[in-house]
Amino acid sequence: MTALEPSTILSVEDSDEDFFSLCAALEGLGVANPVERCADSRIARAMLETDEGCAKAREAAIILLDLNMPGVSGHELLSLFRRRGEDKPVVVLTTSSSQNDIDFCTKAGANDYVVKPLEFDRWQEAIGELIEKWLPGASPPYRAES
Amino acid sequence: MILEFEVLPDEDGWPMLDLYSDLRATMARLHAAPTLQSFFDFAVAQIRRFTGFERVMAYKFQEDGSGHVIAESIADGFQSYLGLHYPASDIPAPARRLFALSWLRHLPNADYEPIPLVPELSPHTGAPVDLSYASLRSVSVMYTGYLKNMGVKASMVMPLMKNGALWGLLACNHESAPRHVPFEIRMASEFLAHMISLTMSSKEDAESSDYRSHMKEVLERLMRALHGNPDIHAALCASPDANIRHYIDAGGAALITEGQITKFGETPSDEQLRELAIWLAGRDELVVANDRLAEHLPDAAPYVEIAAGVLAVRLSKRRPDFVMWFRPEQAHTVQWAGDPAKPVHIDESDGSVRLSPRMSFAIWKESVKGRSKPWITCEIEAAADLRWGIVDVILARAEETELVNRKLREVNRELDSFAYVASHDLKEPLRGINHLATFVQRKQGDPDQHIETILKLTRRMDDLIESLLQYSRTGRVDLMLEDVDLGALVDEALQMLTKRVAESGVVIRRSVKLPIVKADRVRLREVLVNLISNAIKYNDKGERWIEIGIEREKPVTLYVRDNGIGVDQKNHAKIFKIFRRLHGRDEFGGGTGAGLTIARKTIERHGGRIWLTSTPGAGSTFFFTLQEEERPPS
Repeated sequence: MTALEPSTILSVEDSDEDFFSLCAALEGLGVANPVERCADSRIARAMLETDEGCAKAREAAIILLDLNMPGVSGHELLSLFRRRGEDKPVVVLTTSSSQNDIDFCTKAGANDYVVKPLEFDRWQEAIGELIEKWLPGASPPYRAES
Repeated sequence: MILEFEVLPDEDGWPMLDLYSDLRATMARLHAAPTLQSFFDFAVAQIRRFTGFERVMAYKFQEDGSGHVIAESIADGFQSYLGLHYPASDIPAPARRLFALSWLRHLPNADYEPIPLVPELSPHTGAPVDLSYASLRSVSVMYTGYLKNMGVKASMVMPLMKNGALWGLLACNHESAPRHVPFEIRMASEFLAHMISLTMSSKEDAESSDYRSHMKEVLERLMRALHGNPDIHAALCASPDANIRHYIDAGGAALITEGQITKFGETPSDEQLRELAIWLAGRDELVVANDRLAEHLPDAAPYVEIAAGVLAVRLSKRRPDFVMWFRPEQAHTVQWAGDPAKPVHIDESDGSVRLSPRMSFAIWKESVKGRSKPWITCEIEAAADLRWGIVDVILARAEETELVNRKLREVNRELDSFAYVASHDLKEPLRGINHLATFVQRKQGDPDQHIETILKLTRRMDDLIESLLQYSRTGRVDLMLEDVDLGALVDEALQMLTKRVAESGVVIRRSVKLPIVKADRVRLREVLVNLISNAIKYNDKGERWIEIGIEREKPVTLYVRDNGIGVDQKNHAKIFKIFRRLHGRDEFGGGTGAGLTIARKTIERHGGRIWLTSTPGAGSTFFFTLQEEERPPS
């Protein structure tokens, strides 16, 4: 594994479309941080469960975590990661608006919980808010007009 | 030795009886009497014919020592005492004991002068001579006084014994003149009384056994109704000839459950019933038999004429739910023809109230004020039996309801997670479509590429929805069970997969002989297709093989084994969950992740179980049964 740039946004996301939308939103927001994707449960596991993986994850600025992925659940990954004592900000980015999921993630140590909006503009706003909150200064002071 | 001599009465005026044949004919008719009442009607008539007394009565004692006239034969012009009730004090316990000692006591003249025995004490023993068994023994002054008050000049009394205890009396009175019954006639009467006692017992037992078998029959019908009808009120009250009122002899009956009241006959009002139920619920007994309710519950006094007595069984520990039977105040129901409102006789000489039948009746009435006819043992037992039956049915129903509730909760939970997963998984491609359409609209990126992806996502949504429908159908539509030849069914499944088998180059090995099972042919084939196609898909080996065979005969356990990628133990439960895939969307040929969920549903609906054993990297074996196992395999 190659080292991550310190400002890297690490996205654990199995959906190609959602990852594409994430990149489009970041671009629209003018966020230039590099984005690293874990599209696969095995890679995500390796990233958040193993010493080597965690060492790498620690280099990222923030982790965006999807909950519903084949082979592994984001819940599990979050718990494992936090149980290792890792304190890197983790923002859950998911389709689920279930209170159970919200409660679970809050308890398991997620720093934030964002429900993926249907429309792209809302999506970009949501991404913008979480970047402003967790990566202050990453996005330019102006908001990209759609 | 005591020798008794008596004057032989005149031959004139005595019927010349051929005692033997007469008695025999009488006995035959008594045996044939259909009811206890007709039995006694005939018995007293015969005794009057034999003895020529003006009045012959049959008394029956109650448990409290009181009694009443159950049958009577009288000469013309005499007032009837039939139905007369008299208090226990009329024939006190010592007198009753004395009556039980000898089979016949005859007092030819109530106005006789008693003559003292000389000497009073036995010269041999110095003790008083025991005259208990002497027929000329003087009677008590109380008794002669009683007879005189009744206007009786001569009497003859024979006990009616049942099981060694005094059950009643046959009492013969002469009111116009003293009457001395000759020895032979007395012997014949005594013999007849003896036979009446014996026959009466079996008659009475037969009557009570008729009553018991009636109750048993009604109980059986009530139980059948209870089992067939979830509404306890309908079950116990709807039938015109098998309802709670019919079950036990009472003036009225009521069923109270959860505030609902069904009444029969004469009962207290709804409000009174509710109050009574609450009072009864405050007691510990599950079965209450009370023949003097108002003595315990003053509030019951206003309806004593309807319900002086209550027999109640409790149906619920938590609620005041009861079946109740009511009996009216006995004094209120007993009619006696000799009870006209005549002034009471006052003895003009000393002003004391003379004992008379009318007085007796009044005293008796007073003594049973507020009481009903008592509930007898077999009635109380019958009430308890009904209670058991009802409670049993209620319990069984509660268990059933609990079972249904549990299943319902399970289904609800399943439905909940199903709806969650379904909506979640449908939202994802929908969001993709929305975003990509936005990009196309805003001319961001490659529109052809976006539209291509949008089309792909709509197909994915369609697949998901189709899987959902199929899953829902599997749970909903009735199975068409028939005898299915598993061998032929596996052939059909492989036939459907011919193309994929050929493309993958997988080698299929299967048992030559597979059994015949009871199953839904089409759905079971879907399961086989799913398991075999999974075995083909999830395989990364160069030489792939699948083995299909029978693991156990009882119950039939089919397996599909492969040398594929295997499933980690911790994911065994996960792979059966809807839309849960272990691999990326397009890995291993893709799919919605509903196949095994549907297969499991199908197997479970057959009453069977599906599970797997696996060595990751080396292969998996999926097993399923189609019926319940005696014990789960380890």
